[in-house]
Amino acid sequence: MEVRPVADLRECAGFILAVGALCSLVACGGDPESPTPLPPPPKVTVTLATPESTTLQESENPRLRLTVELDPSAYGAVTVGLNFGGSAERDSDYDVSSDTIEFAVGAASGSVEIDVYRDFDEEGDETIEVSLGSLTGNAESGEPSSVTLTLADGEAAVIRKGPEDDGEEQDIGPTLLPLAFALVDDPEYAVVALVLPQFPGGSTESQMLVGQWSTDSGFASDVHTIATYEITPSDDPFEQAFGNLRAFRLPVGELAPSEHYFVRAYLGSEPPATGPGVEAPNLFYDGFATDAEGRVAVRCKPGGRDTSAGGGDPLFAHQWHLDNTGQSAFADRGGAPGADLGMTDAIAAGRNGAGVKLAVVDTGLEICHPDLAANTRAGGSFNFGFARTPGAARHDPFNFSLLGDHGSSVAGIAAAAASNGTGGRGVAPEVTLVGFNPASGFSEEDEDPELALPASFLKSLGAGEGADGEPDSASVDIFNMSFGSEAPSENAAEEFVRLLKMGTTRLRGGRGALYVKAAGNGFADCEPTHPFQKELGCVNSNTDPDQNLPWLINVGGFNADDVKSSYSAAGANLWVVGPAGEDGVEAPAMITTDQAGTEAGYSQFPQNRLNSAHSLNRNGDYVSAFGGTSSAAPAVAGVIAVLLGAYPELTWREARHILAASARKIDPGIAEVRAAFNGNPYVAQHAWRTNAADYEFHNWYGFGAVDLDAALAMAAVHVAGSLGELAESDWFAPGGDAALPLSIPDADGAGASAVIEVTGLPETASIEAAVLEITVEHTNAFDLGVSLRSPGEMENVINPPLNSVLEGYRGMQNWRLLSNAFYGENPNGNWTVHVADIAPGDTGSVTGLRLKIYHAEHSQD
Amino acid sequence: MAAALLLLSAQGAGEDTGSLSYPADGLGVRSVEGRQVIVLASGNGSPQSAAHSSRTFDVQSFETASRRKHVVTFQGRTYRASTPLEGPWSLVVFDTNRRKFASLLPSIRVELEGGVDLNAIAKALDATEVTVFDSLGFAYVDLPDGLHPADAVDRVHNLNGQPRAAMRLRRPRVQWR
Repeated sequence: MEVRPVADLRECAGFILAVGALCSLVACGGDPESPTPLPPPPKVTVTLATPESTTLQESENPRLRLTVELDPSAYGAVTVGLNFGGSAERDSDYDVSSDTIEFAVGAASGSVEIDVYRDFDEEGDETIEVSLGSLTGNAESGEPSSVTLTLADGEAAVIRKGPEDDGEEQDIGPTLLPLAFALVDDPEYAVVALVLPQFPGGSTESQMLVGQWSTDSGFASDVHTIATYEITPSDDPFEQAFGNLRAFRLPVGELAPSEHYFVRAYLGSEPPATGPGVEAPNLFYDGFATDAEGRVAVRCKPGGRDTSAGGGDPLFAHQWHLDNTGQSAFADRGGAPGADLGMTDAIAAGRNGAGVKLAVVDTGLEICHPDLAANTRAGGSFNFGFARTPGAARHDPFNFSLLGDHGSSVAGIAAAAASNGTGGRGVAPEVTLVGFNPASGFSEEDEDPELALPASFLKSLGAGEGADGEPDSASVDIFNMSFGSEAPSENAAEEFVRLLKMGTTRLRGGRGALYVKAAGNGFADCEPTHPFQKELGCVNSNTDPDQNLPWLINVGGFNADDVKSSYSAAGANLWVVGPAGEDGVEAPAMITTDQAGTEAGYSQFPQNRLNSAHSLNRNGDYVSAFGGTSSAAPAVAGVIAVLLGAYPELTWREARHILAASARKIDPGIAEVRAAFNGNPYVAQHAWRTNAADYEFHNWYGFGAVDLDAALAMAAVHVAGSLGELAESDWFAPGGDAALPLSIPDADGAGASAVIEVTGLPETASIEAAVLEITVEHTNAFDLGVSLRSPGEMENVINPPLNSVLEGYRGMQNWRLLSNAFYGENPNGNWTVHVADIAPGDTGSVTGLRLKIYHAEHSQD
Repeated sequence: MAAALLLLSAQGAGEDTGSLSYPADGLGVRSVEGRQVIVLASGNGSPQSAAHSSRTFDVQSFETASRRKHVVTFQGRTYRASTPLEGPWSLVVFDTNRRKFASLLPSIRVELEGGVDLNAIAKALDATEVTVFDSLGFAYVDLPDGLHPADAVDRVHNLNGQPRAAMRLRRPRVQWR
């Protein structure tokens, strides 16, 4: 009997599978008395499948799976080699997952992936010629045996960089920075407009700065000049920044009663078009009203609106963020049904935030507004400007500007009353509402209150205990912070760190207050210097110095189409997104409360479709064109209020955990942003990624869109205390071979990497946040992208390249960057920090790295 | 009026170690929020001109008729700024980490620890206002015109119990979003 080797038996088995009856018992040696020579098995034919399209758009970063087929299927091991040629350069224009395909028994096809690199080089169309190469096993080449792929060249671009911030030439015109508009009584009663003309480096021509007032909002008549100054540029940065500060004073001793007055200041010889909502460069414009006695109106006076319980909410049907049915919300078109806060059940169940106290820390709050008054607590709000503003009241943070009160519109999104016969409703229509205006109040001798982190902000955010006529913010449950700042390589002030630590540990009876912060509107806030920047955004959320702290809930915005609002800043520090909309003209914005009255507020702006000519807004108390992440934050704050109203025992961490775990993934198909630099691919922004703890994260959306009904359902089964205690690790630094400095290759996607080993944290620890502190000596930090990869293999870009805040800025100095992407993962193990410089001409190295982990022991998902 | 520069001799640890500290004209190099800053002379209480040289930096400050000019040469690059002669905007430092001028607030932060006597501090500084944040563990002490925050911090350190105090850097401008 012929003894067949194992391989042959396998061949036989494969052959049986392939051709069935041809493999008879005899042929397989079933009859020991009649050995018959085996016929050689037929060779399988190997062909290359032609892809549906052989033209690949390089700009789309395609990954093509190229299939090799066997006919019949392999009845023995077959290995197919592939040859790659053509004008495209492997490893520079594309890469291939493997040069060979191994087929197991029974396999009929296999594939390799061709990864085409997007780059911004001008190289024309190129080709990849793929052909079958060497074959092993019982196989022969068939047709087609080759395929030619064409790589259609993408956009060519170079990264344009401005000069360094201490460079010499920058040909940009002057700008007029409005600093304050206030009523003062020193040395005489006057309304003061404080403006600061600024001349970027290189400007040499003087400009005229003119201040005027009028009773005509359009300045077409009754125009009076207050003062005219000649403003001179300076090459001195401090002189440039502060030397041209000018105040225009309008004495208010003899004003007409019940009149409207407007003030403007402009740079140049010709006055620009002026009016509510009219945007013009280098124009400051504001206005105020007088009361029946001719005094500047600085207190909230009820307008005699008819509100009645059970009267419904006429604007509710238009508020897409509460129930998106595709309504247009007065814009040209509607959005995607379902793109909302997911609160249908909450509304039906009467979940309304009762018993929860929300502070809107903002420009003011119209406490007598017909749709807010029912929820404001008498004496609960605080006007920081009252002592300096003649006639103002301590507990009435009324904003006397006629051109919109940001805080009153923010407040309506969270807290407008429901079923009162007027307007729309808030997310939490029975929450207790208080307002603090920490940047109000002004003295010409003082610093600009918005420039610093003055005591008033601390007093508004939980450190105010209500004693001695001070605000009571220590009794607040949720703080809405629709404000922020931007600065290169800047960290939060020590005082702010302490404030948040205190607020999240001591307030709410130790359960911790919630700090909800608008992530920023700077995504499109630059002239893109490169196509990459359009996809990554201009200003990243991590360049707000305060937003690198793990005690905040940083909120981005989505629109009625269920994708990111065009302006909403991206960042690794985002937690969730809330509804924010677009401009209210082309696509829906947010419908909310406005300063009451037809001659006050945003409602008179031309871009606001819901003006007083509309039957639903005859009194001008509402606006349909409000937006910004300023509106996403109060929407999320309202969601939290409803959550805490229903489940008041939740700690701040439990509430934010529930927000993340119940969030709705939107824009699921968003592609990663990737391109090759110097032939090396670099991911500057990942697609949605699932971390090792099964949380999905994207830098545009954090954990996703807040979904109130899902959050309530999750809260109902949440086990109290299941998140353990929050702990803050020591700093971990690179060790061993990862000695610093670490040179960063110039204009090369390969970048430089360092490993930081995290050890000694509990084996059951779950990450709540990771903060990387980085120092880079570099001539232009604009070039640099910084990424972090966890031991759980989650990757996250924590500072994207081409961050416009860093343009021209030299390096990074102990800059702290927060990422929430690793939430729930175990922190122990090796973390990899990757720094890439994607733009030529500036160079440097990493000189400092430290990683801190905020962690706890989560026993419940 | 332009004043002649008064060049002081280089001395102290900063000369050789690069640690930047210099003792000469009363202000020197300090650490603020983890950054090393060179404190520059302000109008009130400072000489009309002052200068300091070391191997790592060179500082010159002098008055003109209406401004105080500052010239800092650090690691081979020269940086210039001018400030008002007096008032809150006259307080300026050079941030060696960021290689930029930065403005100080006319107040200091005093830690509330070890039974610190805020009355004694207020008296020693002739403070215009003290704002206490018990829950945060510190107080802001607003300084009178003419008292530089760096001097105020030194005075506090020299009081009984050596209370801890720190200068405050002006923060970036807040914008409503």
